[in-house]
Amino acid sequence: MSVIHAIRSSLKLQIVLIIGGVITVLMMIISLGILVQWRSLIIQQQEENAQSIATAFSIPVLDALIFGEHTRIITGDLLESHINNFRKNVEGIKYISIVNDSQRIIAHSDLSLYNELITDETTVRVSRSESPMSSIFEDNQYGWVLETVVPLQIAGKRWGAAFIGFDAEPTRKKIRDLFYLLFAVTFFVTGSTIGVLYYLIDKIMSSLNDLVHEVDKIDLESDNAPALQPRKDEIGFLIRHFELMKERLVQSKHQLENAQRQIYQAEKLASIGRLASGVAHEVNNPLNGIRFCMYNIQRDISNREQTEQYLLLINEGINHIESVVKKLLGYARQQSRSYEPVDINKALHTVLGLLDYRIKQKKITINLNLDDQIDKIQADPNLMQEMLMNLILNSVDAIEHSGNITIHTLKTGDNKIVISIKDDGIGIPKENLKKIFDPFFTTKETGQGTGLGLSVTYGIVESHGGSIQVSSIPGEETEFSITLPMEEVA
Amino acid sequence: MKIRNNIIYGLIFILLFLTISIIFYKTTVNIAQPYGDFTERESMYYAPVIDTVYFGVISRYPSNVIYRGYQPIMDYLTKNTDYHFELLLSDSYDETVNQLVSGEAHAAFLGSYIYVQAHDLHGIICILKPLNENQEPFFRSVLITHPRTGIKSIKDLSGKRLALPSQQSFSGNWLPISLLDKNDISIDDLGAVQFFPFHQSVVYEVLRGNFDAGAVKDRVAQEYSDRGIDVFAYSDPIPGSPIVVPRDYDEAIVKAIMNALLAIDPADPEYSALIRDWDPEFAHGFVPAHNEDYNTIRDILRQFGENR
Repeated sequence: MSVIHAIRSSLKLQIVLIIGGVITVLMMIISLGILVQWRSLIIQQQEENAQSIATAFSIPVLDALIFGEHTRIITGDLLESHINNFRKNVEGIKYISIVNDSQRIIAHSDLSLYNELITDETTVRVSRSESPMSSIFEDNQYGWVLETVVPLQIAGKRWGAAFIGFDAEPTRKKIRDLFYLLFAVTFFVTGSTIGVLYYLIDKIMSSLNDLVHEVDKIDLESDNAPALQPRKDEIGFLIRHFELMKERLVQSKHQLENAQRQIYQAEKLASIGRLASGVAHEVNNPLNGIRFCMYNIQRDISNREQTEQYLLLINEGINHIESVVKKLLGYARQQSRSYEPVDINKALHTVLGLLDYRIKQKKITINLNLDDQIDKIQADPNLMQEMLMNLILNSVDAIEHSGNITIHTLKTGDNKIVISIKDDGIGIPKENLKKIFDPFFTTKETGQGTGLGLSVTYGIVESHGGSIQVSSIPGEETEFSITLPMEEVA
Repeated sequence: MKIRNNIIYGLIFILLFLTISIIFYKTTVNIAQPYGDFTERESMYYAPVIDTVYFGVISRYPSNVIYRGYQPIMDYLTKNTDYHFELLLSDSYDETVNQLVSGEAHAAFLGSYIYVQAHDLHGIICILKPLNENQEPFFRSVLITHPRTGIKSIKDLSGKRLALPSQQSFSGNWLPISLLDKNDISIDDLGAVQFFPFHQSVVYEVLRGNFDAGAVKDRVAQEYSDRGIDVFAYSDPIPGSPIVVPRDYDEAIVKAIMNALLAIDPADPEYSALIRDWDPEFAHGFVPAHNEDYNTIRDILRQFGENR
């Protein structure tokens, strides 16, 4: 299993195995083809040589037999002499046997076999063949033998047949040498091809690895990311296109950031619009008080003591207005992103202060359960306020007449803080839970919401390395939980 | 880990390669192969199931030459008649005649000269005579020499050594002597005269330089024309060596022999392939022979006898 897994997980191994396998099989087929062809040629050549020698041997034998028949002279001695001379002058002959047409041996290199009757069925059959024939076999006494039988015959007149056993071991040695040669060539070619293939693929993979490592080093946040080493091969082509892709990514990132910034600002302005009635009320109340004080001062302007008291009240009212306007301006101001220590609890109070009018207007009870032990986190203070504003506004909007909003902050053991905002409003249908962070998704009536609030909130949390979760029971409650790391996001 | 895996894969590859190679090796070096298929021919000489006709041959050539040239004719006759034909060789011309007379031989190839004698003495009957390459029923005797002797004509034979075939052959006996007589050369003018049993022996003696000239049948001279012999004289056309039967011949056998051999048409590709291995003297077909055809020889003999 581990071998299969290793093969599946390694492109290099797959290429080497497939191409190497194909080369090996092809080389083996080619070598086998050559081997079979050459083997056949070697055997055929040896057989032809053997038959030529046997035919040459048979001519004087035939003449001797005819002479013996005609002159009634016993030709046995003549044949034995011819056999001996032939064996002395022709190398590689293991035995010679001459049989008459009754399959009886009339001369043999082994004289003990003289006059024996051949009973072997195959030998009897081939001794009657009309043309020279050959066979190769392994004999217990003679080893590997190439036996050739040549008929002692003129036209239809037959005197018998001559069997000559040639040593077939040299033939085997030739074939064996040929096998070793082809084996060595096949092994060398296959091995070296696979080796070269392995080296080249390893080089390509190494280049790809280098590319991957260089890609890993790329930081889209930084425009000063090191460029990859230029190359002239296919890897260089890949690198050039990767650099182009990187430039497009950086460009896209900048465009995205600009778009995000504009969305954040638009959403901020939209939420300011929603705060406007509360702000107007906050400003209007002190203004009425100031107008009342002014009226009383004008009625009895000589009453210095009273005037002083009313001026104090006017000052207090102006301070209140100034405080409200300052908060609003602070919230609405478009600032470049900056990370600095942010006290989440304090930010919560600021946001709740801005929403005070709407909270009271809807008779909402705020239950704060803030952890005093949480440290300041490294974050953009404006984005943190916007994030909290969006979530609390969402909760306020979810409560139709009166209700409760419970806010928790908590420090976790892994150096993170959790902000939980729960309301007992109308809740979110289950089918909408997956869509609520999508841009422009809203269930509010036209003009009541942009559909960007939660999307922006999600983006802020993500950009600070945090996560946001939502759970809701329609008609009962909805809870958003934000987890943020306390250290600065890289 | 990676190196170890690579080593394992390499070893697996080598192991697989070696296993396949060993199988190939075992198969390759095992060169055993049985005898192939062949046509087994039952020898007609050891299992004749029909009547055997023994065909005598005068000893004009060595036995092996006779077998190589005449055995295919026997095979042809066996194949095309209802008889099994077998050659009956002899040591001399007379022995063949005796085989015919005694009934040992049912037919025979005789020489023209010996036929004339055998007919007159034993009533031997000629039935067929061979055609030459010009489709004529004749042959010629020729006188041969080697270029080194400088012999250009019969007149140059004076003082030269002459080799002749059997005294009972036309080529070897009467004809050359008759020719000598016509050219005013007597036997005594020759350096030496010796007879040899076979026509081939005469050729070999001339080639060896033991003799300056010799007389053989034209077909023998033609056979050795590429061995450096020159023909410097030709005889008149002589009726071809006949196939003969004894006086009390078997009509059925004679009919079978004549039908089979007269059917041969050398121009027919089927026959030309068949007779390719026959003795060249009989490889151009046959015509019926009549005793009168050989009167030419009788005239020569008579003339020689008168001159002598």
